[in-house]
Amino acid sequence: MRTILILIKKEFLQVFRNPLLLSILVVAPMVEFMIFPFCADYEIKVLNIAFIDNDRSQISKDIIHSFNSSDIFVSKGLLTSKKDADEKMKHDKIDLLVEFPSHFEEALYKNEPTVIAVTANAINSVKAGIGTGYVQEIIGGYMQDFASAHTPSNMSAAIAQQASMQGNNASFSQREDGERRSNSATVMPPQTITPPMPIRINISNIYWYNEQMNYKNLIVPGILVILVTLIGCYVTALNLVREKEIGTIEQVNVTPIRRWQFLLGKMIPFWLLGMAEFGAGLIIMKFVFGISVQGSLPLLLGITAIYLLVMLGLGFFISSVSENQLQSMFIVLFLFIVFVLLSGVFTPTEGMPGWAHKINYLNPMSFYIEVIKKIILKGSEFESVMRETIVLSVMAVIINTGAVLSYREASK
Amino acid sequence: MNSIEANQLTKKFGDFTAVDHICFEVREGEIFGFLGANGAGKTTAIKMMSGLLLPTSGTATIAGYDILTQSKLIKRNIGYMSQKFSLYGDLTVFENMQLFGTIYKIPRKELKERIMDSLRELEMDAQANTLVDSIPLGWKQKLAFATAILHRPKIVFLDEPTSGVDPIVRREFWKLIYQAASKGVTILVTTHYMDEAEYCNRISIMAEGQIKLIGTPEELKKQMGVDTINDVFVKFVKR
Amino acid sequence: MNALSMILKKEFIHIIRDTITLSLVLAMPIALVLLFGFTISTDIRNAKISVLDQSKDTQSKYLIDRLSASGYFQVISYPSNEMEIDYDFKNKDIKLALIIPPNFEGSLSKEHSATLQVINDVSDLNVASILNNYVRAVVQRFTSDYNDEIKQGDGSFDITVKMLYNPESNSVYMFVPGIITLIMVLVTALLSSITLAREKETGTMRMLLITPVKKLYIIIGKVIPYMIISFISTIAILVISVTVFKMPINGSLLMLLFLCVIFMLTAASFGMLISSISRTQVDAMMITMMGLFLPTVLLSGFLFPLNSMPMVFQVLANIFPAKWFILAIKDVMIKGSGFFDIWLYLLILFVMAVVFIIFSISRLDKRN
Repeated sequence: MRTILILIKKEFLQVFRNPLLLSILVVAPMVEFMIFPFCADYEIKVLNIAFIDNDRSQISKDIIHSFNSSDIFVSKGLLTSKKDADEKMKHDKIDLLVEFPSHFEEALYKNEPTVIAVTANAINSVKAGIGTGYVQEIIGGYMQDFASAHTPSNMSAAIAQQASMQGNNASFSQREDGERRSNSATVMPPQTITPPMPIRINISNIYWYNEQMNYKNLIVPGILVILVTLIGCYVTALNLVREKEIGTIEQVNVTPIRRWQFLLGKMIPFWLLGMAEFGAGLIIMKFVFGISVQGSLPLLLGITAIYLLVMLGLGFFISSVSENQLQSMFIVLFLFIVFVLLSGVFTPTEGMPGWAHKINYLNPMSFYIEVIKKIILKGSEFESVMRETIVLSVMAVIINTGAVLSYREASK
Repeated sequence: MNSIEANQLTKKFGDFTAVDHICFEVREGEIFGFLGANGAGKTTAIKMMSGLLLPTSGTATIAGYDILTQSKLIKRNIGYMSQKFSLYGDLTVFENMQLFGTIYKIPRKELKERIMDSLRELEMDAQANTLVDSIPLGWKQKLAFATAILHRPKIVFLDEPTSGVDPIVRREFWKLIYQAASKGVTILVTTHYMDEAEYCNRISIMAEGQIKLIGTPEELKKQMGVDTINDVFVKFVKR
Repeated sequence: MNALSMILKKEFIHIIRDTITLSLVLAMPIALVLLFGFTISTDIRNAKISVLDQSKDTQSKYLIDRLSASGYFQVISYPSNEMEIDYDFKNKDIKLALIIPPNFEGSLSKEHSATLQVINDVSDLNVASILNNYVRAVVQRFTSDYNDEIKQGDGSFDITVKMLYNPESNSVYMFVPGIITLIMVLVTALLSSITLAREKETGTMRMLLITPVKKLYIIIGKVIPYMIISFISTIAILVISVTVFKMPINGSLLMLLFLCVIFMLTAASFGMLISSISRTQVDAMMITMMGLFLPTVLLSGFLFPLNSMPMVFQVLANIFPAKWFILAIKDVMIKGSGFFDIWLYLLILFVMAVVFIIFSISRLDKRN
């Protein structure tokens, strides 16, 4: 229809004549793609660790030394007092403190109980958990090697072996520098009951659905979603309310134009813009991040189209019911924040309480994000995204009907 | 034949009655002036008649159509110029007219001609491709008027079309109004400039939402025994 | 001074008359804090997993039980090969799959070691790393229990772990300060960013500028009311954080409030700055979104740890007030820091506020 076409032309003219809006449409995606992937990273890469060594034995030195070869730990050296350590931890100079008691080495050799104390700044509890876990692993690993080198069974076997080999009195292990072991071939009877070895379970991780093992792969689809949503919802909401506020909408309301024509005339241009941004996003994703869509591209575009309709409809609905730009902006912003933070883009949905999951049934973004991840990263087929597609379609119908109905040319 | 008939038209906003049971008629081809101070209810009245506000009670017919049930038909036959000259500042003069012309379903070829003719009459054809934001206020006004009558409506509503411009521009604007009226268009104009009342065929004076006086300027002046409409108003207020 | 109080009065009237916005401004933060306090966390519960148990012996079954009992995982399927695992990932929404090798029990008792394979769905790497930590934790406990049982004699060493400042490993501590920051920034800056732009749009700015009122008063006259409104929101947010989310206030309450006031000053002036460079309200809103809100989410340390980021961004983060505020508020609330610990942050925030205000005033000039 001519009317709709001219309305579309008008919106495009207005967008292209608005330098700020244009720069946001163009610059924002780039900025988001550049910044997000590098920032949005929960992985703990740096752990500052310090030590208090009351033992100053070879073993404690060895253990401290073994932290140096780790990628994550940055050793801040030896501290002299607990007070010093407390201060440093308070000022975030160290994340972890490992304290060796005096006579540590002695106790180990005598098989007496002894304790290493690890203190962590637990404000970031994940970081503390990971940090202490790694600490325990490193120390535990060292201890296990130590234990296996010092179990009597080993010793007896070795000595027996030596005795049987050549009757030499050579010391049986290079490990104990300066440690003098009995050179005498005191042979212990092989049937001695030996203390059992502690077990150690290794975990090997395999990563599926992500050839490059990049955090970027997580966040990039999320950026796409945010971009599309922003354009869909935010810009359209502001657009309509602005016309209300400055009064141009009156001039339109007195014409015989029908409501659906008017809304279509606004929705189509922004829908096109949103799809264009999405397309640009996919291209950036491919050529800058090397992520290609594993699944079906038409399917992805189709569902994006539906999602955009939901967001556009929402934007219009909000504008229809707001009195001024400030209000509509607040409402849109509020919804946007809620949607984003609940959707699982930044924080996992798995941890949310039941009622939050229920709210998420009303959150279009959470469904869309699932679709994006499944199609782009996992290459899922239509069946796996059928549920989300249906939900989004229903949402689109409901919200747009609501937008049309709630739009009144004549105020009450 | 009455272009406009209003019967007990009322608009309330909560407790506040903006328009209080007004009754009047406007004949075809008339220039009817709605006068009154700011806040008297003129804009509210005109908005009800152009379909922008729903009346609380009362009825009206515009061009024979009922405002409550036949608003779409009314809209095809009216033009409107809002107090804020609400045209799109980031579109050009031509684009604005083209937009509204298309919405009013003026055929494409004819539309272009009409726009250019109209602009030539206004001596604005050189500005056809200028953004509306950049043209002076007086010209914006003229443009808004031209846009309002582009589709050759039978009735035109003008809400304070001359506010904010100097007297010379105001007079020029009224020339435009006369031109339109001479072609048979009914014109309902609100204004708070009392001297503009002289330009109208008939006027009404509103105060506190009610029509207090209605008639030709001559009649009212005689009634009040004064020489200008301004004096009519002053005398009336003093009462 | 009279002029200033007139401006203040005018601003307050504006605000109070727009009751819808006002109620939004007060209600929104409360709603957001409640919502996010309960939902934002990196804790995961009942993550769906599959286990491919190639041993099916007592120990492997026991391990699986431990995984379920931990509360972190729910085992929803027992695939028999990798293809089925793939299917589970794609269609059953599992987040992780565990493969227990054959002869698990035997390996443990004879070779004293075994290797488990964890398959992660890395389309959600954050979840993957969190879940891996949980697996590691469960396995560690399994291991130490196993070792405890078979151990004889009490010759052993032990590692004790003490969690400072957050003994219950409450992830609330991490996020609530950030949420407080985010909301404060949002409300204060957003509101104040609109205000100048609105006056420009409606033309009243020109009128103001013609009057002999000092430009400083115009700006301050706008900053103050919005600060006050945000302050009210902030009190509400703090009350909720403390009562509902059990955030401690280990430092002095007065210090905390003072800190909040300074931050609001900074946020409001930032908003004013944005406003002074925007021609229209829409512009102001968009710049606030892009230029303040997004950086606050990303670069303040609220969600993502700053020292995991490239140096460039760490430096960039310093320009935004949010970063400093989060550091300070965590210190005061959790560590109980006092004035002498956070004076630097306070100074930085204050100086930023001054700079923003000066800049806004100069922009007003140019508009003339």
